[in-house]
Amino acid sequence: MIRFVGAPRSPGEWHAPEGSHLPLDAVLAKATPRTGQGLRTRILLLLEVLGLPAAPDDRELLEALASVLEPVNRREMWLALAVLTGVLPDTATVVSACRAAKLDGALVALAEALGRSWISEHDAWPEVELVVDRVVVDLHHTSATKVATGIQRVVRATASRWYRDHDVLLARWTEQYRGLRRLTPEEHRRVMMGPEPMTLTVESDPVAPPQAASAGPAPAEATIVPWRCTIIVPELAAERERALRYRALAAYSGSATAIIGYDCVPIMLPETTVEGMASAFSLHLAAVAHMDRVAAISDAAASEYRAWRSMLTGSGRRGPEVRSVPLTAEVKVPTDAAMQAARDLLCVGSLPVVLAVGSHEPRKNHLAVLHAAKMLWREGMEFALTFVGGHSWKSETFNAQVQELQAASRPVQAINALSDELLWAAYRVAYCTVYMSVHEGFGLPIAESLASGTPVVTSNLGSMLELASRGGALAADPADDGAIAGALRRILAQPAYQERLAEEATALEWRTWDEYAAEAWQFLVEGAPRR
Amino acid sequence: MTAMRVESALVQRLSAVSPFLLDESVAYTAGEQEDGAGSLLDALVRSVSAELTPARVWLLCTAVAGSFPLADHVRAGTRFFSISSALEATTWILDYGLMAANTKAADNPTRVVEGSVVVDVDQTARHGAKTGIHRIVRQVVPQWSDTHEFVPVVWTESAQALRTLTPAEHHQVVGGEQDSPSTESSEEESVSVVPWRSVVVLPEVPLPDACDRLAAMAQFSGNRVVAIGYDCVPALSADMVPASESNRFAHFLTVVKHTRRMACIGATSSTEFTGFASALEAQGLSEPVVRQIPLPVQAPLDDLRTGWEKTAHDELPLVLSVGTFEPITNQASVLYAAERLWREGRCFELLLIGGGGWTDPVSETVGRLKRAGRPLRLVDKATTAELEAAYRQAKFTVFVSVHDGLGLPVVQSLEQGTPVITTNYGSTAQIGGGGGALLVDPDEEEELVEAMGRLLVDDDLLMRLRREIIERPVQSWADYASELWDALVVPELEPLVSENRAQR
Repeated sequence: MIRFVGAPRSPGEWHAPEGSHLPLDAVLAKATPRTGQGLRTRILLLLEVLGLPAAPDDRELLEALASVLEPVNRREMWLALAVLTGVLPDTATVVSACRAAKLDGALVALAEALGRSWISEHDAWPEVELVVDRVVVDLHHTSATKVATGIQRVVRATASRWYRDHDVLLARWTEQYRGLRRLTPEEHRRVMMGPEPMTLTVESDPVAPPQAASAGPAPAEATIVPWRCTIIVPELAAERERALRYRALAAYSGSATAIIGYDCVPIMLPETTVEGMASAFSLHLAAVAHMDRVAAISDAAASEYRAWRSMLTGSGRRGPEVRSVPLTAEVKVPTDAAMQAARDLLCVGSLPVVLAVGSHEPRKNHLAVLHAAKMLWREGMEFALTFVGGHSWKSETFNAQVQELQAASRPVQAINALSDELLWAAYRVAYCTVYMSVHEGFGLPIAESLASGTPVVTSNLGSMLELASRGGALAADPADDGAIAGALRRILAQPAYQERLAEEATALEWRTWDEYAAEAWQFLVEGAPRR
Repeated sequence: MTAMRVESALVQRLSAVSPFLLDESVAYTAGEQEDGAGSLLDALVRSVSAELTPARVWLLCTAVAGSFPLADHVRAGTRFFSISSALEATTWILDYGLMAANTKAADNPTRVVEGSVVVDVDQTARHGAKTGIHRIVRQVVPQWSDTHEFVPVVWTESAQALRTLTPAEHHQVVGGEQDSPSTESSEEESVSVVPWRSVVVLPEVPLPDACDRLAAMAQFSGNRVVAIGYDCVPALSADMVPASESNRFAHFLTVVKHTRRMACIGATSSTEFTGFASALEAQGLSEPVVRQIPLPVQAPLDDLRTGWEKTAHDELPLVLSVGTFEPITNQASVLYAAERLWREGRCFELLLIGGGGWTDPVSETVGRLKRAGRPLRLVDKATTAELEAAYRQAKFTVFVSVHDGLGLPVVQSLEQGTPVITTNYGSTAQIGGGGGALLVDPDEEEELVEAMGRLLVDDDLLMRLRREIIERPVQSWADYASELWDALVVPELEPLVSENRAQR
């Protein structure tokens, strides 16, 4: 929350001599031309969106403003605060302004809120754009990066199609998470990089612990104030300010709010996430608790969100509607050159290639895969093992073991990143892939391997079992190294079995990203009633 | 610690676990050796390798390092032992011991307790903590002491191992609310406790470091861990608690997922832990049995005239609200309702007992109201006697927290015979539903204004609520403690004891 710090730039405008706040009419009467103009413009904007006539003079303008908050209610207070201050208010700000309005009148409450706001602190009037009755998509992270984690692949694939097929406003948060703003052309391009981004960097967990908003004033950016909109958050909004403002927005802006739900790992499996993630993610969930819809990326992810939602009733909250809208996979046929490059990269003589895709974090359970491989090599089985994925937290043991095995001349390697095309080729070059994650919201590498016609050895749990059950895969208990070795042994020792699984994989049908994007839109937007 | 002492401590710890890891004949031979730890360790490593389970690796790691291993260590050890020679395995375990050695506590004699019950009273005993949770521990554990056998334990300073209590710590748990005797006693006099095929009871929410080791113990050691469930506030209402608390609580959830049983203190707690448990099957884990055993609300004093009716006629009626000043307790809305009523001309004094929490949303309002001469009093620390006196003096109390598993101020108010206005969902609604309470939506402050306004003038309603309190079913801590033991400990202990007997 932006708090009033130090002396105001223009104390005469906002404060009475004894230090208390002036009511808004007194502020307006004493205001400099700049402040007066700023205030009047915004009050007019507010009246306009609420369908009230413009008022000819200050007195009537303020009377009209006061009437908007008669009786005092949090929804119109949210709107008034957002429009007047140019900052999307958090819940505490809305609630305390409502209390002040009920005790001392709306004009006193608003003047007080303005006096505490960024505006009086910096004497700045960032532009406000009121957006009514539109679909707004929050692309804060995706528009800022070219990196493609699992989440960003999904966000680009959906947002670009939604933009193509519907009237949507693409937005992101301002520098200090004061509010939403439009994308710059450069940011827009980053989102539209297309359904398949240029490079795959399987960089760490899909969600790194978010950075706190940096201190100090940032250049004024026009704030979007969404009113009676539908707001879709397809990425994880876990920054403190962003989450707190979303909580108020979901509850009071008259907008329907919805997210794509990837998983609840930071609270359901906190032992697999980096310290600090639990609080950030819990804060995000505290906002989602007031939202309308969660499109979960698998049946298993939906069950997880429903488990969380059922926990909310103990504190009087209902939580959002949760529906499974399973992700899909789309791979392209790689060029011959890419296939050759992948062979050069992965093949060791004529050994069958086992490919493991995923960042080297504990949840991916790479140590178990390494151990199973060790067991098999000791038995005399012959195969080459390649890991593709970025370094992540707690990957030191993994790196050390890979080096140790390499020193012992075992055919194992770890590659940090591959372009999409090379990755698709790698899937095809591989004899099978192995993906023994402890827990996943979906399991994109499983889907991509199967879509490439390559069998997968994967976990017999949750979303991974969901994918494996369709065919082309062998499922084993990720907590049982012997079972992992057994599954790999079976597929490596029996080429006929591998072929059968490969045929099953090839026969699988995958929805296109077009279909996924349409189905998600259907639930997130069209299924959402206006409140 | 000198090398000799290190070695003799190591020999002591290895000898302590030998009966549980070695065949009797081997154990005997190893005990005869006089060449220090070497041959005993060798025998233990060979035995663990020959019959390799994560539980046996856990116990060996514990003995070698003098501290409980983390889950990663147990996994790594089990993996390494499975493909290594005895010599390689011995090297690994010695490396592990050097890395993980708990030098401070490793000197204490180690006792392995098998087929027993171990109760972790760490914060109550060691820190004299006095929050709602620790009040419950001080009620329950002394009751258990009278009727059951168990080993109370605390964590070592480094939170890596369990040990027995010092006399002073023991007094903190069973000595009631008086101050503990001043005799300083240290960790050095105590005995390290290693539970083996035992029931480990967690009546508190342990500290994060201890949680990581407890999680590994619950998952791998074969001990059966059971716990009291209070609430999941830090995971579900992170907007209302400091981030550090959400992060700490995540460590406890990791323990919860490997527990066998959870006894939840009320409706909120039971909803939350049941929901959490329902997500575990998809992680390949078996759900703990989650049961609700609501905390007791004891009978109020018979003499109701000790209360507010004794207030002199010229004194203002007292409205009491107990709770820290932080967003979750919602004291700001109590101040708002009071201000509304004062402005309407109602006469009453508002007493807030609690003081500042992690962030203070009310001090500004408090300052303004005081400057305006409103009859508002703040007390940030009160003894139990002062607190009880305040509850008795109050005409009614207010506790409208937005999220609370315990509802302690509701219980305390009812136990002093004083009606309470409280939150209309979760545990507070459950307790209040038994009589003596008005329920309001804490998010609709006008409901609070109305309820407080009514209780200030409607003496019929007030008397009805007071009668309801007297008519509440009587519950006792003895009943609660015994129900808790029967629900958490008995079903886990009995099969363990018979299994242990069969193994002998």
